Amino acid sequence: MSVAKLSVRQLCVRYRDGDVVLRDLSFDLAAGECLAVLGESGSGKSTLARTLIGLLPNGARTNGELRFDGEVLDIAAAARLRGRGIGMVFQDAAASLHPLRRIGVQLSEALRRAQAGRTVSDALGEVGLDASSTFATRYPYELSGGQRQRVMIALALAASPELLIADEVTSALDPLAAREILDVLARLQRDRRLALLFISHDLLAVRHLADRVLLLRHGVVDALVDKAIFFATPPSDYARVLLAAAVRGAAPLLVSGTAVLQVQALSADYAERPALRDIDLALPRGGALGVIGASGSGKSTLARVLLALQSGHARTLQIAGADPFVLSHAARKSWRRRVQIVFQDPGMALDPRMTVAETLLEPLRLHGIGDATTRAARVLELLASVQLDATLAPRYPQQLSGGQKQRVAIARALALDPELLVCDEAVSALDLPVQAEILALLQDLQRMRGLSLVFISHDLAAVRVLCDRVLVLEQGRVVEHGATVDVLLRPQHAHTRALLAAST
Amino acid sequence: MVGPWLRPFDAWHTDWTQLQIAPGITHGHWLGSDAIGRDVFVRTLLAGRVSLLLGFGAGAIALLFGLAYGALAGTLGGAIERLMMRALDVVSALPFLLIVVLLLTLFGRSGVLLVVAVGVYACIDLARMLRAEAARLRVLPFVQAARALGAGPWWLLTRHIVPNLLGFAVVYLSLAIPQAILVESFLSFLGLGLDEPSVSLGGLLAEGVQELEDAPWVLLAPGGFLAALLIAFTLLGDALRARLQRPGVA
Repeated sequence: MSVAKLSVRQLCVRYRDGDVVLRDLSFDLAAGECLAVLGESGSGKSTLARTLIGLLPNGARTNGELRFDGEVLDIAAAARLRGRGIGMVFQDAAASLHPLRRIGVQLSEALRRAQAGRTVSDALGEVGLDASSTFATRYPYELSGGQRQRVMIALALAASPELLIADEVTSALDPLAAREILDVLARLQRDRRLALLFISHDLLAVRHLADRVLLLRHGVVDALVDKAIFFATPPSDYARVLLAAAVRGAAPLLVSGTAVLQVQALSADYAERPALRDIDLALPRGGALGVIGASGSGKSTLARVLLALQSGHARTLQIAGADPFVLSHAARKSWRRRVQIVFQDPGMALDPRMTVAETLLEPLRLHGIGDATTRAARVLELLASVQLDATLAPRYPQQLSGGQKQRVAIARALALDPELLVCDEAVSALDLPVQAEILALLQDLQRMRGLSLVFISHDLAAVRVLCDRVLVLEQGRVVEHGATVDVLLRPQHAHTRALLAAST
Repeated sequence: MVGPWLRPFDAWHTDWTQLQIAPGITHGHWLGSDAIGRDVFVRTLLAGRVSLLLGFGAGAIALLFGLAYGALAGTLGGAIERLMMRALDVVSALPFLLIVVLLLTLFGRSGVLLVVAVGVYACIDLARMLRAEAARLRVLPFVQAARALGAGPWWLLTRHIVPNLLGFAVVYLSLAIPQAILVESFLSFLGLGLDEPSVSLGGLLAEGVQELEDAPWVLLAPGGFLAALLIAFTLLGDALRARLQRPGVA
């Protein structure tokens, strides 16, 4: 390492409420180098980014020394360098772009202010976007998530910064789009000799892009080593836990038996546009079906139809022994006891005005099961079955962690002893170690209760460990369907291969 | 509310020796007296009480009907929701003040009619906003999960939608009540308000205008009181909003 572009020495950041968010953080970053900052949510990753661009919340206090190009980086210098020497790309590109202005206008404004002397089409071309003038006249909402993220990168690069901070830029994207963003970043880093600070909790992305890895835990450096060393010989216990959570076992063997799910030629619309066309699928009792595909491929619409939360048309539709769309009102209500769902966003999955106990009592009350004493006993039993402490019963969702909320959501789904559980991206929003715990929990439930699963995910690693069969969706159609081992090891369809390539 | 016990003067007592006295401490009439010798301070407080009562009454009516209508439309969705909202559009397209004036002249001036009219007026906006909020809640995972558990519309409405709308409704109400007070004052100012001897702030303002040149305090006292009342409600609304707003909920 010759001259450090960015050097951080004994950085401490403390928020106004007294919480120390970062403690004794020291590292160097050279031009053309990529340092990945890895850690779970709350580890101080984003605080580090905000400190570097001088955008800490009011009342936050910093100690230690920051130098950029040898110059002391205080608040004033950070404000001067923001968008010039130091560029930043955030996770949520949709919220960072002006929704009512064409992307070309937003880009040209940034280029003009930077006096970069480059055109909008240069800037678009550099991030691998269509450089034609018609593309530049689009509005942000007309772009896909990956395209928006690339526009954000182009904006951050407008003033030719020497340091680029990328904060969870791939977390909200499906694997294909995420892979493309990583490729763009890798090329830019090489061509422009950018110093890249890549903040992420995605081990795959880190492995793809980083030269060195800085592992943060509770605001303290847990490890700072070369990437090869980090992945080959994990330098700390915590690194081992993280890596173990990511590397999961082999796919389960194909289950056979009577069908819990038998669907032929299913079609459904979403927002008055066709979302599913001619879907065939089958799942035996006790089996687990993984549904994979890029965002917008119709995965969530499938979940909603299987739950009869929206209508669909099919030649044959047998879900847990019945076609919910022909059932009478009362029959459908009792059918609902047999099929349940767990959603992606644990933050919104529970009614914020109901305690954990009330949430778990709701299904029992709805179906008039038991009396007050047996219901209370059932709530405790449910909490135990998802490995939650009984003391959490009187809490509100806001007082729970993401993993705890998701466990409560699973417990609610189990309250009626369903035969089929549909998980719609049920672990995607959680940190890696928590994901591994929830997956293990689902495996146990499947084994012990004979539960059948439909596991919708864009996380192939999770599908591999949980599901004995896989269905690949592309734009509402099934492109591949078979045993997990076959589909994931010997993919037949180009789209499956692209999904796989993006996730390894 | 404590006005009547605060000052010894009777609101309707006319003191012929004390006509149009300027405000002062010494003679006891802190904010002066009006053309027929009634104490302005006492009358302002009393009228404020009447105005507040009318405002709260109208607010209660708005909350009841607005919440029921908006939450129902938002929860049911589909064609029923569209029909209910179009009906609301039709009602809100009618010139409200004109109709109230007509009703009041037809059926005579009455406090109840006034409260109901102003309440219905306020409930249109409330229903519309709550409909939008309920429709947003309807597609959230926790409501969908309850549907998947077998909950019907009535269950969703009473257990999930309405409890989550209440905070929102209360905040909006803190804005609707001062609006109702203002509308009522306006009607009273036009002489369509309550009958003597009860009087609201608008009625006082109307009296004050007649004496504006000789005794400006007769207008300024209730005017200032009305302004202070409205500002107080706005501040209360802001505080409530800050208090109740939790990420992603209200």
